[in-house]
Amino acid sequence: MLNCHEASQLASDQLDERLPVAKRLSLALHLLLCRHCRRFARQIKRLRQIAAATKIDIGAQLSDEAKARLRSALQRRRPDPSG
Amino acid sequence: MQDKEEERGDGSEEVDLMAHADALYAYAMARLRDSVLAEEAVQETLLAALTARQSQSNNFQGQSALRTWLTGILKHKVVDLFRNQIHTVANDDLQGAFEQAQFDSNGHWRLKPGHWPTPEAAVEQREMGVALSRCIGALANPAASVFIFTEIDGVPPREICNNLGISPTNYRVILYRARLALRRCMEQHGFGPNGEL
Repeated sequence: MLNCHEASQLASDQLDERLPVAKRLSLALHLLLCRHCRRFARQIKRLRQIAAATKIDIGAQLSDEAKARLRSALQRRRPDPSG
Repeated sequence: MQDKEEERGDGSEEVDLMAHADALYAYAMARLRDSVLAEEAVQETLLAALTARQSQSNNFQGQSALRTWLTGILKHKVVDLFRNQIHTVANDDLQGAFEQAQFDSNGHWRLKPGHWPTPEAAVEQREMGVALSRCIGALANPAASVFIFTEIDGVPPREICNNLGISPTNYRVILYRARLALRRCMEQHGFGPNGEL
């Protein structure tokens, strides 16, 4: 009989791959009996849906110095305009 | 001060490309979590783009087509840089400790997952998206990147393992820890037992 720790790992695995039948059955049995793991399984599916529907922005921005470095790198690469 | 000069003619390619630098950097930072590596990825991408446009005289219908093309180049640079980084990140222990803390010695939940109501309105959906964005921002690598590659970029697991040089077992553990942490973080942001949506 799986405990919640094992069951939640399998529930996570199952989102990304087809589990062997024995694991699938023991997970299904655990989920039938355990409300908390049922919730966990639903929540990580929901995370997948939200992630797919959201433009993730962690708020990272280039500093002015970094922009200047990028600009000069691009200018160095530019071929001689006369040629 | 140089912008004026560039706009006059032969610098227009750079101006065009630089307009996307911030977005590319945000993309790279979300996945690499290292400002030096992220800047390197952006620079390599812009230089590759400049070279390609000069030799092929690529014509893009608009800025969004250009952005898509640049992001495609960046994606590969990020994976290359991340592959080298993943074996040196030292936070596996940290995330392992977080996993252990979620369960008691019998493997039962210490903090039981709560009931998440189904968001009805678009506003609520957006709020969950904002919270998830924050939670991903607070997540360390490799968990953050592996979650993003899987759930946002939609890269197949086998491809992620190959690209990053990690075993399927390692991949499963990293992704599981990411989900445990994000689930918990969402509840701390008010989605769950004690919060309201």
